[in-house]
Amino acid sequence: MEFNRVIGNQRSFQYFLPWRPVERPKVQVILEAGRLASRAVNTAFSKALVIYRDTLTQAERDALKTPLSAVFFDTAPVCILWYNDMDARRVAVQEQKWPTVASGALVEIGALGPPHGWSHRYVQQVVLPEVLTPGLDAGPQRGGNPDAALAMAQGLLAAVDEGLAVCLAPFDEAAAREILRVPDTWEQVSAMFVGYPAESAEAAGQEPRPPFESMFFEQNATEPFVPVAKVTERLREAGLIQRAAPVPWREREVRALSRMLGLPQE
Amino acid sequence: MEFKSVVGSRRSIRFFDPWREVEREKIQAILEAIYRAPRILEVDFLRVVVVHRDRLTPEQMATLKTPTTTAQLDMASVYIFFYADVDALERATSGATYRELMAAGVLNSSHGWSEEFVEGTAVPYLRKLLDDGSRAPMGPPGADGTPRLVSRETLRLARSAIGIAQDYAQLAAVEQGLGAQLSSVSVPAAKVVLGIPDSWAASSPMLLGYHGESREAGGQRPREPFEEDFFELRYGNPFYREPAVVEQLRAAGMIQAEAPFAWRMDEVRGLARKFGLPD
Repeated sequence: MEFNRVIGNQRSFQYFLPWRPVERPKVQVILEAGRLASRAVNTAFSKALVIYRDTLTQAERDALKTPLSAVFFDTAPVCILWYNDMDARRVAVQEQKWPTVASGALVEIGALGPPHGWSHRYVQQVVLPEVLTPGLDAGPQRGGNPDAALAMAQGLLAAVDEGLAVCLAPFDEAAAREILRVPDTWEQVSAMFVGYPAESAEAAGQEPRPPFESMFFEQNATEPFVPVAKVTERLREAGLIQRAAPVPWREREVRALSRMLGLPQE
Repeated sequence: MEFKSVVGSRRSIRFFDPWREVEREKIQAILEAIYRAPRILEVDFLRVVVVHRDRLTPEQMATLKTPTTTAQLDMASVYIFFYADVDALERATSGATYRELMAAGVLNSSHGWSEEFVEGTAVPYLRKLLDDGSRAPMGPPGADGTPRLVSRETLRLARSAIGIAQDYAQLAAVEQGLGAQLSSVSVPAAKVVLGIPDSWAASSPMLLGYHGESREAGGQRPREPFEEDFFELRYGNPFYREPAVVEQLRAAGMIQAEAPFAWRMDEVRGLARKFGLPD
């Protein structure tokens, strides 16, 4: 799918077809996309655990639920728990097993080189002692969370590209540790619920946001970035900007979906 | 550009043509993509500041540099700074965003959403995260000389919000035919130069410009084995990587030739001469 349309088609989907499984290759595509995401010092902060609704007991599903994710655990066939590995920097620095900045691999392959001041000596004498090692004695490092979320976002867009419905919601971290044997050094980013959409591809429509100018600034934190209308129009034509929620038929669609899925109806 | 090709073509670009401006339209297109990114718990953490290098003074430029970010800061013509306003979580406890999403048909009674649910369940859930007893400094010292402490849960959510935006930004930059790299700068200096409020937590800015190096930039960066990062059913049970899927993604341009290309070192030496950098 064309990139702008993937961005435009993404929704926080709420209704999944509970009886339609997600093909395992599509799950792999999500993970492959996450794996290719940018990451600081080429370190593997992002981890993910794929679970299937139908291989969990009802008690296990209930334990993993939070107030904001309860229905999803019962309806989405696949759930990917995304984590930040707070031990990743220590592993990179002390074990140097994988191709990271700490192991010297990025210098070796020419990703970092002398034009930017990088060399094996620079890694050994400056980057390791002054940048990567300080703070490791204090225990697990929480700073990798943006990188882990970055990988998750890339996986989420890959799911949209695969024609799947996807939404993010929190899960019970303690229950995941107990039921799924998740290490203590893994910190929750989010659960990603994946399935085929029961609702229309538009869902409710593109979700509301605060005014553009309250989020985006130019040159300093007080000067709003003023969007140009012709760019907005071009992106609308490309499918990145779509009809805003609610679409006119949304109430009727929600009632029908609730009947179909046996969910409460107002 | 096809999505998979965008993902596969992304690199951390470190050589930009410093003399070539990025058109404002392209910057807006990147911001418009970020604007559509999903929000963690629907909290409006995200703040983004676009900085044009040539509008900074030499003194401001000098203060932004760190030991690992030097030449690329001089070469990229635009920096996009990402912040999370940690006060957004407090504001979210009004429940206004959830009510807005209910009115828009995004959150519905089928999933338990109602005014009572917002007041009695969703808002207390946010409040619990906000009031979590474990506190951590959220950035450099403020005006009173001490760093502000916030709950670790707030920081976790705020950083996740930034990461999602950073991904959207990088992919949108590739789509626009631009090179991008998440880089480090001096956070305290950026706070002063950009007038960042005390409640905004920082992360790595994205340097943006036209490629000075080839788009392949020496090849896709190597990674640890897939099975080290992804698990199935339980932790410890690696997610088996189907070779057929890898081949399919290779054909779609998402998985590309891995670094190093045989000619990469020659390219780096050539780039050093091109830009007058040490080789």
